[in-house]
Amino acid sequence: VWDARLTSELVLLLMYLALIALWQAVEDPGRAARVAAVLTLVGTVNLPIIKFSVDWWNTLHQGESIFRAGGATIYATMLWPLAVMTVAMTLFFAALATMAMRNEIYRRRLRTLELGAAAAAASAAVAGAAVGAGARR
Amino acid sequence: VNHAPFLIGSYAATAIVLAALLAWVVLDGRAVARRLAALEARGIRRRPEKGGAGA
Repeated sequence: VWDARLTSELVLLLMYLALIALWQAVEDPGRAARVAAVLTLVGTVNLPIIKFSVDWWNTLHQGESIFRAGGATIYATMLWPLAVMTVAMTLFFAALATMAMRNEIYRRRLRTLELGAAAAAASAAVAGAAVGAGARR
Repeated sequence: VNHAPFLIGSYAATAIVLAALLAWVVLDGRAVARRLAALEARGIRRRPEKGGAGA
């Protein structure tokens, strides 16, 4: 069960869940982004481990079968759909990530505006109370 | 062995998940844009408008 590729992918999943938990745990978005960025950078160490896990350890998973000297060992009827879907998924997630980033920028602008409006309303209330107190004297 | 049910099921499940992801991001964007527009309609902006800029 503890195949090297599966286990390294499991570590990746756990790190992803930790990233989500970390992001949700810190209230200030700026601080949350910094902490999450650090964890993301640390997490990238896992990527080459996943990639080379099939070469470093003797596992049930097949060895390198695409980018290898002597050409790919996958049959063409599987290799081409794999290549097309890899490009398609990469482009789709690039588009999705760009849209989500725009949403996040809008969300932060919204938060800034709401905080500014709340602060302005609070200072106006304090000033109003001070004026009222002065008039009563 | 007939693999068609597995292949069609896999593609269908993937298509549903991707469509749901896309819908989530698009609807989230619209909701945030709507809230921003509502704030701007109340005169709450990031920077004060320059007086007579367009006049």
